Amino acid sequence: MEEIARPVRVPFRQPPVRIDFARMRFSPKKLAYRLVTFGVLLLIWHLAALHYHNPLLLPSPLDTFLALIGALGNVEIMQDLLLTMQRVLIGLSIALVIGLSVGFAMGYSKIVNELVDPIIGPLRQVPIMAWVPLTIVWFGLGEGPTLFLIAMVATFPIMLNAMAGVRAVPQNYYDAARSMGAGRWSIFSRITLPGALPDMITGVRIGLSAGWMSVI
Amino acid sequence: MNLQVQGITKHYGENGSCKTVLQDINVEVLGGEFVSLLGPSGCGKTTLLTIIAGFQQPCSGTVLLNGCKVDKPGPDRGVVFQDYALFPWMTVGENILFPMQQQKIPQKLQDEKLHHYLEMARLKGSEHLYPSQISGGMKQRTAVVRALASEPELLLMDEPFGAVDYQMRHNLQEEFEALWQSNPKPVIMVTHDVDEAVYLSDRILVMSTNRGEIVHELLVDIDRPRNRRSNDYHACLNKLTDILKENHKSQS
Ligand SMILES: Nc1ncnc2c1ncn2[C@@H]1O[C@H](COP(=O)(O)OP(=O)(O)O)[C@@H](O)[C@H]1O
Ligand SMILES: [Mg+2]
Repeated sequence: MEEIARPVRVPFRQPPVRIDFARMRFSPKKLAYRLVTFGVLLLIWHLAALHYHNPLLLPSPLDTFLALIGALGNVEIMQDLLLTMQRVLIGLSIALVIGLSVGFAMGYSKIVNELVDPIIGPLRQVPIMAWVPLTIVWFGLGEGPTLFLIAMVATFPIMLNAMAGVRAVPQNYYDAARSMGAGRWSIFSRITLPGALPDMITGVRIGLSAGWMSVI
Repeated sequence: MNLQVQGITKHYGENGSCKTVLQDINVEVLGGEFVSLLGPSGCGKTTLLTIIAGFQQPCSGTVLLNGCKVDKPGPDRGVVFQDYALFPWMTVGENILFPMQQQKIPQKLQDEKLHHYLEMARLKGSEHLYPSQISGGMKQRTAVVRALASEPELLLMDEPFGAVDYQMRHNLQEEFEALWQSNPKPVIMVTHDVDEAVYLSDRILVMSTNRGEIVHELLVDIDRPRNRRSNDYHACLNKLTDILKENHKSQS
């Protein structure tokens, strides 16, 4: 293992913990808050629909719900939906694998970071629509371009947050673990991984939603 | 146990603006003594301790533990960090088990030892709590028994009572004293607090700001646990304060 990529070494220091591991549990209170939010949104929608009174401009929640039920029975629509879901899942899986592995490697190793960063930087800046003609040329008109775009959009947030998460693990924890006799695998699985988890989850959430939105 | 620190020198910075923090430092710790490194902030105490712990390499000189050269951290030297460095994603019990798991101790023995350490540190019933849920004193005790759980030859502590107020500090010192007496181990403690050094140490090494030079060595021969109000205690405190003052004067 190369040295952990961190510019200044400050011995015996520790930043505040960013996540409360003791409180990551389900609570009925939280569910109640969600229901209230949902209810209020429905009400606003309903009132707005009454106001416009035009199903083309804004259909009422009830009409929309009935249309959804209708669509569920329609084989063609369901097939399209399944296809979309399948694409999203494959695209996101690619993004997860590439994003997490490259992100971890970048956070772990200064050398990997120096090698990969000059590629990542410019790639991120390319507007997503600019990829469309290129990918059609590369992959033809089939699944290829869609998968590529979903993966492309989702990869970077996952990658960069995983990298930041790995770097945010205090040097202290590594020193402590090594002084208790921990080997490489143990340090990775019990220090780096849980230490980077909060940022990793943030990245995956952003990546997944960005991937979803790019489907349309 | 025999620790020898021989001719340790440490510079920081590039060749252009090189700063010598430690110059030719020699220390020897034998048997079960409690040794304190006492000196003002910035005199290089932490640097020396991290070199003994193996977290950093000296520019020259060697550290020998029972005759073997120290060049990386290991379970033979338990470390208590200034802010404890308890892993926040593990419970108190998991933190204490961590060093035993690394040494692949049989499961049954691990359970017995965990029980023993929880008892010793009065943490029974708190083993399922996370570090964010316990008090400063409990964190400190967890950190100490976690360091003891790898059964080190030597305990290294960097201002382990530094981050708390006066009263709490006294409490923690007294708790540590009790814990230490039930499980005596050689200790090297870094501190800038005169009272703390006198309360806990068998031997005090006074470091100077000038390249970490050890300018004075004081033996504290008072019965434990020490009474902070006794005459002997005060005499020792005064003597040490005078040494520090003199040292400060000769520097400026
Ligand atoms: N990683 C580092 N890089 C550069 N200078 C450092 C580093 N660590 C410590 N120093 C310097 O070395 C000196 C001694 O530091 P330290 O050992 O932390 O002192 P103490 O623990 O006695 O307060 C200080 O002047 C500090 O600024
Ligand atoms: Mg220090």
